[in-house]
Amino acid sequence: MQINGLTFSYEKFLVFDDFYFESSEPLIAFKGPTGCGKTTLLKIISQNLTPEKRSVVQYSKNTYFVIQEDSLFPWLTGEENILKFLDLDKKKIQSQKLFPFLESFFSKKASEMSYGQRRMIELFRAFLFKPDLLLLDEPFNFLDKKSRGVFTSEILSLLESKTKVILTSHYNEDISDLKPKVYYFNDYFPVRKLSTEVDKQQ
Amino acid sequence: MSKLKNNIFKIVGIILVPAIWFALKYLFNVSGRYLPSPISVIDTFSTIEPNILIHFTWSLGRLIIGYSGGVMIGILLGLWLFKSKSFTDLLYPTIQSLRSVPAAATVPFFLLWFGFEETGKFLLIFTGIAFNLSITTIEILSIIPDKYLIFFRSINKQAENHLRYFALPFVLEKLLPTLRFSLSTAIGLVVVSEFLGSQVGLGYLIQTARSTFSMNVIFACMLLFGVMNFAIDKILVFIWGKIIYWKS
Repeated sequence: MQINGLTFSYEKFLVFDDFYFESSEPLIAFKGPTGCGKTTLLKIISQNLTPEKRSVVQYSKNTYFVIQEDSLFPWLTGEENILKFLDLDKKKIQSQKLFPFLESFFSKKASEMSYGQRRMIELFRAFLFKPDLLLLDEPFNFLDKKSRGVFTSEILSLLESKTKVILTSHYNEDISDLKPKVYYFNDYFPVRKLSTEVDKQQ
Repeated sequence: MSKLKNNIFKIVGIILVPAIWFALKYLFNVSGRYLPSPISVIDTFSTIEPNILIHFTWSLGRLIIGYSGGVMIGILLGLWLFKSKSFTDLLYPTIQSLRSVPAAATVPFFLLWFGFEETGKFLLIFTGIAFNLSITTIEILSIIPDKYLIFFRSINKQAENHLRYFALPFVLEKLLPTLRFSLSTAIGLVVVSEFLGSQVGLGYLIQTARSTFSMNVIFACMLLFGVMNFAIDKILVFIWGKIIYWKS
């Protein structure tokens, strides 16, 4: 992942100015207070926001972005939310290691699921897509401890299959088992670079 | 207490206009030339041949067929426009200009082409509401929430190619206000089509009553149209609640 000279603003508010970031880690975590630009950066990396022309962003070919907000279609079941959009068959889904964990609510309408259940279907859908780069914005929101554990190990096995992962999280305990390389956002704008733990101690 | 108050307001709401009518008629003795008496209106229900309810049934049938057909055509046309950019470029100017023409003004054409046939009446209602609904449909689809756009971009697919599982339910969810508005338009078009090219129906009855100044008949027809609009609107809202079950 390499970003050079990234400049981006919302209307007149400058969020990134000549921003530089480089990392070859397979698993990265962005941390920082609410509203510090984490989600904006993920939107740029996933090409959902276009930065100014002189910015150089190394995009991945298949980038899947799981946003914070619940984005399942409420009128479809968990199964339909996956099968009607991804080119997969039912057997393939049922053979997944995660499937037994979701089976009890898999054929419920999304509108009848709890937040946590919808979140799990969303993450499952993203894992099934097997992107080159997976962006997870607060992936463990609404998940209980046990589910967090299950999905953590799933992310770890995804890394083995060469998917790179960038995630954000407010809570250290959520991601401590993943042992990501952590980069910190400062709480002032515009953002020029991110700092690592080592920078902070200095 | 407040529930009782609400109920009182509801009842008063229903009898408000009839009460004003009775008051004007019996307290202020307004002449029958300007305002028919309630008794004479009620009489029309038994004196008109064929019975006014037969006229009512015809109008209702035309409304249901014309309205549901128009709604379906409108939504399908809208989805089609959403799917294909070329069709939008091709058809949008026509649709936009057609919808600005009051459907009632086109009645002579339909009369000329279809005479007294029912087909002409249905087509009049179709054109009267379908174009508006199709424009509403693509308007709704022009503001797809970010969360869905991000998802489609993630899976490298176009929202435009997912009509059945995405676009259609997404539109249905937001269409009810336009549907209710279209219902009154459709009723208006039933009346207009019956004015000119019909031998049965409430519109026809109003037309003939007009030439003999039979105010009581016109009033009875208006009453029935009111009932029709009220009832179908209620049914529509109920059915819609079932269709977009995920909203309840």
